[in-house]
Parts: sequence; structure tokens; C-alpha cells
Amino acid sequence: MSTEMSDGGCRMSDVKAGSSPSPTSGLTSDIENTAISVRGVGKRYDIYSRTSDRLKHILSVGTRHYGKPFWALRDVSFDVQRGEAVGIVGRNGSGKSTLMQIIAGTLAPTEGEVRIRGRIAALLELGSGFNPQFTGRENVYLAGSIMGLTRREMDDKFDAIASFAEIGDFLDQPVEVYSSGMHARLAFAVSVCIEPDILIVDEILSVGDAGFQQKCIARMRRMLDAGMTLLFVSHSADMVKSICSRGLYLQGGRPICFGPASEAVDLYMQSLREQTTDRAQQSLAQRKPELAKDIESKPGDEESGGVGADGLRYGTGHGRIESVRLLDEQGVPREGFSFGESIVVEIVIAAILDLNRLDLVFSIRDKAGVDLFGSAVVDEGEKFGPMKPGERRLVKLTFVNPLAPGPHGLALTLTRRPDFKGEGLLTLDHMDAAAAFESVGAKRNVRGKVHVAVKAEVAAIAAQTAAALPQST
Amino acid sequence: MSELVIRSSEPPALWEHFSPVGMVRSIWSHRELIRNFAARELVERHKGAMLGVAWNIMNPLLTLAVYTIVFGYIFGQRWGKGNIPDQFDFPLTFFAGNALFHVFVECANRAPTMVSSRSNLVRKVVFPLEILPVTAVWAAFIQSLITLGLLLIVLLIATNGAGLHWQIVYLPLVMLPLLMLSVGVSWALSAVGVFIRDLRHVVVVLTQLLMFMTPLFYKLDERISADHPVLRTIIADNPLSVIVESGRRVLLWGETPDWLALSWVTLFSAAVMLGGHFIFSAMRRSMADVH
Repeated sequence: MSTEMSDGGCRMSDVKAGSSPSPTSGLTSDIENTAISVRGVGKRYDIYSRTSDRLKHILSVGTRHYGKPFWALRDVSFDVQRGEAVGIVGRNGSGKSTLMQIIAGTLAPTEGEVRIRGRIAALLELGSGFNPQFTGRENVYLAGSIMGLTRREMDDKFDAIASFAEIGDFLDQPVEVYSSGMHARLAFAVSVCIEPDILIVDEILSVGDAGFQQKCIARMRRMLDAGMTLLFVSHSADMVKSICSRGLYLQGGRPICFGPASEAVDLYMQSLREQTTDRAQQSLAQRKPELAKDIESKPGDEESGGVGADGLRYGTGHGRIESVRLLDEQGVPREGFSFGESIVVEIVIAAILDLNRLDLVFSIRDKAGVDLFGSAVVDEGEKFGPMKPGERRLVKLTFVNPLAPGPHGLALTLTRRPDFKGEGLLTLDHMDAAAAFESVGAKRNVRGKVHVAVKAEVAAIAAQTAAALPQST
Repeated sequence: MSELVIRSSEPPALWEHFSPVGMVRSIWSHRELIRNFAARELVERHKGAMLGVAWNIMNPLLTLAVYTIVFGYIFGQRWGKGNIPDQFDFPLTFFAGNALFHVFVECANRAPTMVSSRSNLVRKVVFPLEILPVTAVWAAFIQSLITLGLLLIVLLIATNGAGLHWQIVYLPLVMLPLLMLSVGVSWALSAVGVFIRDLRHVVVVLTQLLMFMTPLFYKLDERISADHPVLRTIIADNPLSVIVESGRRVLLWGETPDWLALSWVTLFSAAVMLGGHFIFSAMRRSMADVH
């Protein structure tokens, strides 16, 4: 690890500084251990409004540009050490795939350079260069020969590839009849079985089923342990966090953050939410400027009640969840609840604009964030009625604690329900971690995450009636 | 430690693309891939047809039958060289010339879309794109060998075994410039075709013109009088005319090729091949950008 990475923070200054090459270390071992070094890489496309402009550009032997320049990628610099896994996140069109293509070698950079040590296998999007008319088997050998492996070497690896892909007889069918999942399976199997030094996975796992994803992740982990370097592009925040040690967050072709994976991913997720909120606030600002300002100032002051300050929060802001408290039946605030005890969730909501068709949805989650159960005010037969700006409502949700022992969370969403035409659904305010509590000391076994009332009956059976009962075979 | 690969924004100097050694090495090191693709293509050509691969043989055979009926029996035309029976004389001569000529025409016509239609190979994998035109030429070459093989069988039957001459051993020397010329032109056309999509329409017209500019189905002396020396020179001395003529000599007429002309054509073809490789290699970097 060079000094640049040893500090945990997400420092963009490092990334920017990289555009002018700076020696990271004088030690050759350090340089030898760098699998990928990206220095000031940029990719420009010229957008031609007329095809004749492209022709002019070609005829000038690339010396003059007639199109409108568009930078798909710019000023990207980072180093990846051998055996490291780096996740690349960003919205569609942020330059992730362009960067992967440049590293893989299918695109030439317009600026900067990439230095690579080792054999690369790249799974770039779907399709991944298979020839649709060839069978899976032929494509496997073809991919091998493209990678520079001889037929005999591929013979040795073929069984491993076939058994990893698990697509059975489809191996001898042309690839054009494959489902996208089968396609991904075979492509991934080939890429890992040829044992590359560097593996690039661009969004290909998302089409596989859960079982295959798990298998791929396990395989990638094993290869990482063995010293392989991984570049992993995914929209799944959890997957990036769990596989990658570091993350690169791109926005509009520029690097926003290169640091620990969780930081890069969180920053990306935050930007996604901000974008949603921004849009809502823009529309709000057009209609009621003074209120929009009021909302903007809100997100900081979360001291009221148990509103989780670190929770993920987004929504249009037309209405707000002001406070959330967890109480027992006597109305005493509590953080722990025994199994079978009643839990009262007390919520105050406020209208910022005129509101109607309101509903409040809640969901109880386990510590991994998985929804266990939930309900909504309207589902339970209650109504909010129309609300004027500034009006408040107190909502109480009561349920008996059915949870296995352990920490749990509460997610709340204030929504406007769709009208009779099914239109107008709006998330006014959503909080991922509105409150947290502990389910404690179950006096009975709770098998699974939630216990649902079960009636069990056992009766003795007389010998002669037993014969009349249906046989299980 | 493994080799360091640098992908730089600095394109290599133009002269670096001119590399005879690189050209030969690229073809040689990917020979398996080329063979694989070409074999595949010949099989694919008649995929779904009931007779399948058999059409690769049936097609030329039936074409020859049609020529024989039309030219040999109906028109009763004669080329008047060699010792071939009348009704087979013109059909076989035309057929032999066409089998060679067609290698070039087919490759040239397919070249402009050769790379541009394979965007998955351009963007999604690191693929040696330069072998695609080579593959097409190789497939056309194999097909022409099948066709010429059939021609020889018919020739043997028609002449009771007297039609085969020892000069046929020179056939590889005739084929060599044909293949080099085809590969070179295919490289250039397929590279430019990525950037200029109109190219294929232009090429179709040019190959048609070329067909008439080559004495395929007429005898030069009969059709073009000595009053048109320029036209005569173009038709008689264009590389494809020399190749077609030389092919007929060794296959049908038991003559040796015009060695001087064939040498020039071989040199010219080698130059075209190098030039084509240079153009392809220089444009390779930008190909992924337009897909």
C-alpha cells in the first residue's frame, strides 16, 4: 500500500494531483505491486451534427476537430495494488464503462495513460464478445484463443468452465438462443477459469440468479485471496461494499471520490437521494418559495424525538415526519421491548403544503435492513383527512412485539396515495432509520425472525382408525 | 512479474503502423482463429438449408451445368484454345476465370461492412480485428478450391482424361497474388468502411465495372480493337486479368503463365497487402469510437 491509500479518508486532492504524474514511491517493489495505474485519463468524443463533419475530421487525419467535444471521462487517476478489489459506482453515463473499456484496451484514451501488469479478462456489459451464431462450446474456445491460450490449454480448462457455468446441454446450442442469465454464466465461467491476473466485471452479475451471484462472489473472493486484482462495476451498493476494499465514485465522467469502498458507495447513494430531493424542492420552490427555504433549513435539526439523525432521508418535503417515539403501553419511552409486549410508535407529522390522500407506511427491519413486516395507516382503516399548511397530526401505531431477540429498526414513509386513476403517488418524506430498538428476552423459542401465532394440536389415534388415514406415500 | 502494458493517449507514430513483420506475425499467430472463423463461415453460409454444407459443392456444379447448357449448347460459343470439346470449351474457360475473379470480388464487396457490422467484437472484447478480412479471404479461397476441384473433375470427364496438364503445379503461384491482393484491398475497405458507411455502395459499382474490365466472358482480341490502346492496356494488364489469364493457362490450356506479367502482379499485390495493413492498423485505434 502506498501512503496515498493508507489514510482512510476519501481525498479527492489525491486524485486530482494524479493528473500530473507523481512518483508514488521510489521502491521498485511498490511499483511491481501496482497492477493498474491510471494517470490523468480522459476520453473525448466528438458529437457530429452532420456526417460530413466526421468526414472532414477523418480527411484531416485526426488533426482538426469539427464536432462538439464531449468528455465522457476526464482527469481520472488512481492506482490499484495487486490483490485489491476496487468497486466503481456512479449513475448511468458517468463514465464507468468507458473507464473499464479503456483499461481493458478496447478504447484508446484521449488523454493520459494506463499502465497494466498482468493478463486481463474483461466482462464488459452483456454480450461480452460472444459470437451469437457459434455454440457455447465454440465460443469458449474462441474466447480462449482471443486470450492467447492454445487449444490444448483450453481443453484442460473446459470441464472446469462447463461445470462452473452449469448451463448443461445449452453448451452445444448457439449462443443466440441463450437467456441473458445463461450468457452471463458462461462469460463469467470463461473469465474466471482462464485465471487472469486482473478481472474486470462490468454489471454482468446483475442478470444472474441469486445462487449464481453467490457462487461468483465466492469465486472472486477466492481469486482475490490468491492475488488477483478486481475492478467491479455495480449498481448494487451492498455488493460493492461486501466485495471491494476501495471504491471509485464517478459523476459526469469526473472522479468524485476514491477511498474506502463504503465511503465511496455512501457518497454515491447520498447523491442519488439528493437528486430526488432537489427535484422536488425545485418544483416546490416554484410554487411556494418561502416554504422551500423552510424545508432546506430542516434536515439539520433532528433533535426532536427519536428521529434518527444518521438515517437516510428523502422525499418531496410537501409534508414531514416531525418526530418519532417508541413507547410502552403506559406511554413511557423505551428502547427495549420484550417478546409479546406491546410497542406503541408515536409519530407527529406536519403539512408544509395543502395535503390530501395522505398515508403513513411503516416497516420493521432486522439489523441487516431487511423488511420483516409492516403496515400502513390506511390499511388499518384510519384516515388523515385533508391538511392545511402548518397543521399537525399525531399518529399512534400499536403492535405486539413478535420479534426474535436482537436490534431492529423502523422505517417510515409519508406518502400521498394515488388517485382513482392510479396517478399522483408521491413520497413526501421517507426515513430509513426513523427509530431503533432492541427486542429482548423472549421467554419462548422464536424460530426465524418473527413469530406468528400458531395453534398446535396433538391427539392420540386409535389403532383401527389409523388404517383409514391417508398414507403419506 | 508479468509484462507491463501501457495504454497511452499518445497514438503511435504513423510509420510504426507500417510493419511487414507485424502483419505476418498477426496472421500467423491467429491462424487457428482464422481457420476456425472461415470454416464456420462456410458452414453458416447454407445453414438451415436441407442439404447444408453440400450446397458448397452443389452450387458451383449447378452453375457450371447452366453455363454449359446456355453457352455450350444454345449459343455454341467457343474460346478456341486448348483441347477441350466444343460444348465445354466456353463454359469451362469462363468458369475457371470466374472462380478466381470471384475470390476478389466477394471479399471486396463484403469488406466495407466486415468490421462495422461486428460491434460486439470491436467494443466488448480485445479482439484482433485485423483477422476478420483475412478470414473472409480464406473462406473465399477454400470455396474457390472446391469450385476448381469440381472444374477439374468435369474437365477430366469431358476430355477423357486428356485435359489435365502438368502446368497445374503452378496454380499456387497464381493463387498467391490473388490472395494478397484480396486481403490488402479488404483491409483497406473494411477500415474505411467503419467511418464512411457509404463505401459499400461505391464498392458494389466498382466491382461491377471491374468485372467488365477483366476479360472474363469475352476474348480481348475479339472485342476490343487495336484502335483503343489505353482501354486494351487497362483490360489486358490489370492485375486481375493477369491472374485470370494465368489461371486459365495452367488449369485448362497446358501453358505456363506469362512469368514477367505474373511477377509484376505478385509484387504489386504484396505492396497492396502491406498498404492495406498499414491503413487498417492506423485506423484501428479510432474504430471503437464510432461504434
